[in-house]
This record gives sequence, structure tokens and C-alpha cells, in this order.
Amino acid sequence: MKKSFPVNINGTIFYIDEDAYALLNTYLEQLERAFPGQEGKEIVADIEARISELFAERLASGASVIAIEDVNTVIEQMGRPQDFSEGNVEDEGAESQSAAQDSPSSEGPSTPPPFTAPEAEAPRKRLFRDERDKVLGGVLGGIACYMNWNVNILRIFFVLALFIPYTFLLWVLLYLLAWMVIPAASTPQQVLEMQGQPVTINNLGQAILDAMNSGNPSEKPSGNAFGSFMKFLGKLVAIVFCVGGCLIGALVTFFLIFAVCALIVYWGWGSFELMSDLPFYMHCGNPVLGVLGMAVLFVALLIVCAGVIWAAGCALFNWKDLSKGSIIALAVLVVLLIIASVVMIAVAKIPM
Amino acid sequence: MNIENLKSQMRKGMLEFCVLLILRHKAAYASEMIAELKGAKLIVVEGTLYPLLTRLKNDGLLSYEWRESTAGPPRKYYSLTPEGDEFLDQLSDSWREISDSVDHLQNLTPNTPSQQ
Repeated sequence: MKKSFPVNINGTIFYIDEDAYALLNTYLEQLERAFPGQEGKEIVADIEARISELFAERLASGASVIAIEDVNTVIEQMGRPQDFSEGNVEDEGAESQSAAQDSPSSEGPSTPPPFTAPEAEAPRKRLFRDERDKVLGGVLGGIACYMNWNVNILRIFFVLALFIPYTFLLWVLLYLLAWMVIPAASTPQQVLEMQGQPVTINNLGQAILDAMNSGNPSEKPSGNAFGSFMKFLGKLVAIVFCVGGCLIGALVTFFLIFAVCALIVYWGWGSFELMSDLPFYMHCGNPVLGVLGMAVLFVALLIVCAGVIWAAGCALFNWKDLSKGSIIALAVLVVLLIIASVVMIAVAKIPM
Repeated sequence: MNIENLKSQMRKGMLEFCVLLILRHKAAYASEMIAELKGAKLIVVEGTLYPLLTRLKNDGLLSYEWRESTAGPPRKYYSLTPEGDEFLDQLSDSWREISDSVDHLQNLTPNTPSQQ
């Protein structure tokens, strides 16, 4: 037994099985990706019209509902996007075509999709504030969700951290900052992204149902007014960070260029003059190593500045945020650079 | 060089010319063209035709109009524009040249040193 429902394909209504619908939808999405832009829309619409015709023929020959085998047959007939998208390397298309011809096993009614569905790639997790499970702003809930931690343990640690002497204000500020800058997971799709689940039709449906069951509408209005105020503050902070990041970045770049020039002059001509003009020039020990250490430190600072600008850009203009892996890699790089520069400067300060 | 690959490249190169030939005398919609091309074993997967039609149309060689059909929604009928006619004439000329050259090469007598 399968669930089936009506779909409108190019103006004609077809009854289609649920799995067949999912497969067809994936196929059309692949086509849309393969043919972007206005021209692509037209191509996909034409292909949809053809699919509609083929389904109509199928129903005329006695079937009453479109099953997954029918969708597979149609996909076999139309070809996979990589077989005929024109931007692709021609050889690639030809090879996959001949490969498809070589394997007679795929001819029969195959229930699994005959082409590789894109779901294989791991869904990306994004950091949101978890408004479904919140005490104040849902910041800790969101972080716990992102890191796969238990939210209650994180809350206990946070409260304990508040009692570390002299850091109370720091934690409160950090929390408020996170509240402003991290967006709330407001749509079911964002909730799924927060949990790192793939955004598919089934999941979305489930997420919408969950939201309906647990939603308490009475709380919404006040939360919304305050929420939008926080959002506004968040934008403001992001702008300040963006401008500040740019300014500091520019300053650091200037010093970095100067330091590199000084090093080039020193190594090229053996002249200390340019180097001793540097504001951070050290008069004892090994000045070359010191300047080199400073240069390394500037590179680390530049990466941090770029990160801050990027984060602000994500909050302000919906830039594509970096993946977790690359953030960790950059952070490790920055830490290593800072350690290296500190060691270099420390060694340089030892009088010879 | 893979033989299947070479064959499919030859077909691909011919496809635009053949589509224009189909449309030379009368307008047709995609499914008619597909039936024609499949009969001539010129396309393997039908999807190949659609990007090609859109490209030819955007290049001004084809135009289309919507026509009511007896069954189902209206269909997109493609026909050649004057530029398309001219383009087809040029293609026909170069096809004749290629065809003549290939014929000539295939009819070489065995005593002339050449590869089969």
C-alpha cells in the first residue's frame, strides 16, 4: 500500500505515488541546478511539459496512478542532467551515456532511483537560536544543538561561569551579543538546518507538525517586539564590527606591508634604517627576528579581522557562512601563528 | 579514443543541423522532433533536445508559437526564422562538402596507400 496524491504537471493533474513524487521532485531539482537562470527555467518547463505528455501516454495505456517505475522509465528516456547539460565536458556525458547503455541490469523496473540522488552529501548544520526551548533568548539551546551537547549541562556551566570572579559582566555581554548576532530559527526549514537534518519534504512536514503541536501563540507578541528590537541592535553591532574590522584590518595591513618592506630592505641591502623606524622596533636582542615575529602576529590579526568582517557580513547581508571545518582550521591556524610570533618575539628580546 | 564516445560526438555535432532540417518545411513541437530524431537514431536521451532548442531560439534561428492541441495543454510549435533559413543553407553547403570529401575517401581504390 502506498500513499498517493494529485500533482499538477504542466496543467494536467496526475495521481502520483509518494515515492514516485519524491524521485520526480529530486530529478526536477537536479535539472534546475543544471540549467540556471531564465534560459534554464524555460528548458526545465519544456522538459516538464514532455514529462507530462509521457505520463499521459502511460495513463492512456491503462495505468491509474504514476508509480516509481514510471518515473524511472521517464528519467531513463529523458536522460540525467549530466548527460545533456551543454556546459558540461562532452566526454563526461558521452561516457555516462555509454555506461548506461552497457548495463542491462538497469533496464528492468528498478525501485531505487537509477541516478545518484544528491542527498548523499551530508546536510549542513547552521547555528541558530533555538526559540522552541529557551530560557532567555535560546542562545545556549542553539549552541547546544550545534555542538550536540546537552543544553541543561551547558546552562549549569554557564551559570557557574557567572560566579568566576570579575567575569560576570563579560559573560552577560557575550550572551547579549550572541542574542543579537545569531538569528533565531524561525521557519521549520531553519529548525531542520539547526538540527543538521536534511531539508526534505518528509522532514519539513514533520517539523511543521512539531511546531504546531508545541507552539504557544500567547507568548509570541511580546517576544516578537523584543525580538525585533534585539535584531535591530544586532544589525547595529554587526555594522560596528564590520567597520571596526575594516579599520583595524587596514591598519594591520599597513604595518604588515611596512614590516615586510623593512625585512626585504634588511635582507637585500643590510640596512637597519627602515626597520628602526617601525614603532614596535626592539632595541635589544635580535631585531630581525622581532620584526619577523611582529609580521607573523599581523598575519594572525588579519585573519581574525577578516573573520570578524565575514561574520558581520553574514549577519547583515546573508553572506554564505563558513563551514564548521574551515572555521576550526582557521582558528587553529591563528592560534599557531600567535604562538609562533610570541615565541619569536620572546627569543628576540633575549639580549645577545 | 573510445569508440562510443566518438560516435556520440559525431551525433552531437549533427544534431543542430538535423533539428533545423526537420523544421525546414513545417513547424513542429518537441515530441514530434523527438520521434523524428529517434527514428533516425540521432539522439539517445530526449533531454538533449531541450537546451538545444532554447539556444537556437535565443540565437534568433528559431521562433515558437503556442498552439492548442486536441489533447492536453497547448503546445510550443517551433519554426525557422529567416535567419534560421539562411543558417540552414550555409550548413547544407558545408554538409555537402564534408559528405563529398568522406565519399571521396571511402571510394579510394586499394592501390592508393591509405588507411581503411
